[in-house]
Amino acid sequence: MSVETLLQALSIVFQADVLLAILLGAVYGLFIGALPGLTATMSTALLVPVTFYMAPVPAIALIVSSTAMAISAGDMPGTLLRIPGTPASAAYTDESYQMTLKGKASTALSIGFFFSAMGGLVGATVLLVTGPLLAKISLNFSSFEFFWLAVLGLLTCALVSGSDAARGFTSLLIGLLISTVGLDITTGAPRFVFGQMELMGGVSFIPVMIGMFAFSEILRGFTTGQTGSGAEMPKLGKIVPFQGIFGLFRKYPFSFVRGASLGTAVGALPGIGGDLAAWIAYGMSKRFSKTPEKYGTGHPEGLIESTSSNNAGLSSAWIPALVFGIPGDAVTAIAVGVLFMKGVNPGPRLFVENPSMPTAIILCFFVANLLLFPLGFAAIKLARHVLSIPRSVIVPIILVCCFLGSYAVNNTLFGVWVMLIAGVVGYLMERNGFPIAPVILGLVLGPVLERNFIMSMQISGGNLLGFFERPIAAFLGVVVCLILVATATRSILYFRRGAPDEEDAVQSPQ
Amino acid sequence: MKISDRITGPALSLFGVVVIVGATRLPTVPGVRFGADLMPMLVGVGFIGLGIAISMGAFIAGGGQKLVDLSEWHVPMRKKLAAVWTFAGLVLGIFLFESVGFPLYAVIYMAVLMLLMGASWLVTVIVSPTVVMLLYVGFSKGLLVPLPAGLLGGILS
Repeated sequence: MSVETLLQALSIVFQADVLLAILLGAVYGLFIGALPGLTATMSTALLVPVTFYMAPVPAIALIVSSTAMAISAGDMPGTLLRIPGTPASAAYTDESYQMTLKGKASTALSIGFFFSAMGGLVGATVLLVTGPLLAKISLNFSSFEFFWLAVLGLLTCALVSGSDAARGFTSLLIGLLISTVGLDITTGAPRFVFGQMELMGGVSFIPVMIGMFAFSEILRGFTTGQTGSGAEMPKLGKIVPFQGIFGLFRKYPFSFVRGASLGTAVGALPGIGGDLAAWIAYGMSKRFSKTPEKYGTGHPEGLIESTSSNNAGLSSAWIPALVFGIPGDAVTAIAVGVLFMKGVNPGPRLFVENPSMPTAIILCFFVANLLLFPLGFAAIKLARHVLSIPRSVIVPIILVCCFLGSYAVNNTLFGVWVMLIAGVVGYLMERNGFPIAPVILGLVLGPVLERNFIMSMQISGGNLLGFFERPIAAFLGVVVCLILVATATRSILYFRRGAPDEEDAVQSPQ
Repeated sequence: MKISDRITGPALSLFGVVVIVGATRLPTVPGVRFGADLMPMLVGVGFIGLGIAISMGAFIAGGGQKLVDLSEWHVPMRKKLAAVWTFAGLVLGIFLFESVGFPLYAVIYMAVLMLLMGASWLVTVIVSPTVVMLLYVGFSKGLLVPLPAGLLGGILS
C-alpha cells in the first residue's frame, strides 16, 4: 500500500460524517451488546435500513463500530448476570461471572473492554498489511478458484457451526435453496417464484436474517424464562474502570498475544468469523496454562485470551470479505450486501481500482477499537443502569424495529412476511439443533457459488477434473475433498460406535 | 418445540424429492447445457442424502424421544399469550398497516405486549407512544420510509 493511498484513506475517514457514524455506531453497539440476548449480528441487521441513506464509507463505518462495540459490550450481561450478551461472550461467561461473585466485576469488565480493543487493533493491523497483498494474488483467480473458495467457506461454516455435520449441511442447503429463488443468473429463467412478482428479484437476506436471529431469539425467550424483568443483580464491588489492567497485561502477555493471533487466524478463514475464536481461545488457554485448575473459578487468564481473540477475529473476518468478496461471518455478510447495494463490489479489483476505499474501511477499525477505551470506561461506570432496562420494555421495542427493518428493505410488507416466516423457521431450527449461520451464508454466497460453478462447468465442458487443473484451484479442491472425506469418515465411525461422543462435540456458537 | 429426527429425516428427504421435481419443471433454454435446474437439482439431492443420514442417526440412537415434544411451552398462560401476540400481533399489523396506520397500531402492539410481559401500566403508557413516535419520525421523516399515518393522518401530517 502506498503512502498516497493511506493519506487518501485518512482524509476519507476523518470526515465529520464518517466520524459521527463511528461514534453513533459505537454508542448503539454498546447499548445492543449490553442487553442480554441481543447479538452483534442482530444489531448490524437492524442498522441496514439506516445505511440505505448513507454513503458507502460512513455506512460501513457504522457497521464496523457498532459490531466492535457490541461484541465487547456483550461481556457485560455475561459478567453481571451470567447471561451472555453475544455468542462470542458465551465462551467465558462462567469465568467472568465467577469474578463478579468474588466482588471483582470491575476487573472482569475492564478485561473485557481493554483486551477486546487491543485484540481488535492487532486484527486491524493484520488486515491493513495483508489485505492489499492478498488482493494482488487473488487477481489471478478464475471462476475455478472462486468456486472452491466459496465451497471452502460454506463447508467450514457448516462444519463448525454445530455439533452435527448433517445438521450444519442441512442449514447450508436451506440457505442455498432460498438463494435460487428469483430470476436465474445465467439464463434469466424465473425459479420457484410461484407467480409472485415480489419473488422475481429473489429473497433479500435482510428480513431472513432479522427473522432468524432477532425474532427467533425473542420466541425462544418465552420458553427459557428470559422475559421477566426481575433478574437479581449480584454485588458489583467497587467500580473503578481499568484499575490494575496493566498489571494483568504484564502478568499474562502470552495469553494476549496467543489470543489475538488465534482470533486473527480463525477470523480470516472464510465462513468461520470471530464468534468461534473465543471458544477455541478459551479452550487453548486452559490447555497451555500453568494453573488449569483455577479455570472456572474467576481466573483472569482465560478471560484475557478469549476476549483478545474476540475483536481480533472480528477485524480479520473482513479479510475474506474485502479481498475475495466472500464474507467470513454473518456480520460481514451483511456488510458485503450493503457494499453491493451501494455499487461497491468487494473483491480484489476494489484494491486495485479504488484502493483508498478498502483502506478507509480498515482505518475505521482502528478508530472504532480506539473508541472502545473511553466508551468502555463510561460503560463500566454505567453498567448497572444499562442492565436495569427490563426485557418487558426492550423486547416490544425490538419487535417494532424488526417490523420496520424488514419493511424498509423494499418498502413493501412482503419483507415483513419473510421476516415472520424466517423467525418461526429459525426458532424451530435452533430448538432442534440446526445452526442458523450457514443459512445466512448460504443465502449470501449462493449466487456467487452458482455463478462460478456454472461458468466453470461451461469452461470445462462439464468435466469435473477441469476444476483441478489450475494449481491454486487444485490445492483448494484437494483441501475441500480432504475435509469432506474426514467428515464422512468421522460420521461413519460415529454410526459404527452407535453413541454420540460428547468430547467431540463442538459447542454451537449461535 | 422439539421434533424427533424420526420425523425430520424422512421429511427432509421428501422435501429433496419435491425440490428435484420442481427443478425438472423449470424452463430450459435451447443450447444451454448447464441451466437454471442444475443448482436446485444438486440441492435436492443433498436434502435426500442428509435426510437419510439424519434418519439413520435416529435409528441407531434408538427410540424414547417423543415425535413432537412441546414440554418447553408448558409456561404460564400470560407468557403463552405474549408469545402468541408477538407473532399474531405482527400478522394483524400487516393487514391493518394501511387502514389503521403504522403509528397507532405500533403503539397498541407495543402496549399489549409490554403489559403481557409484566410491565406496569405507567411505564407502558409512557414508553410505547414515545418510542413509536421517535421511530415513526426517524424512519418516515428522517429516512423517508413511506410509513402510512392511517387514522392519525390528520394529526401527524
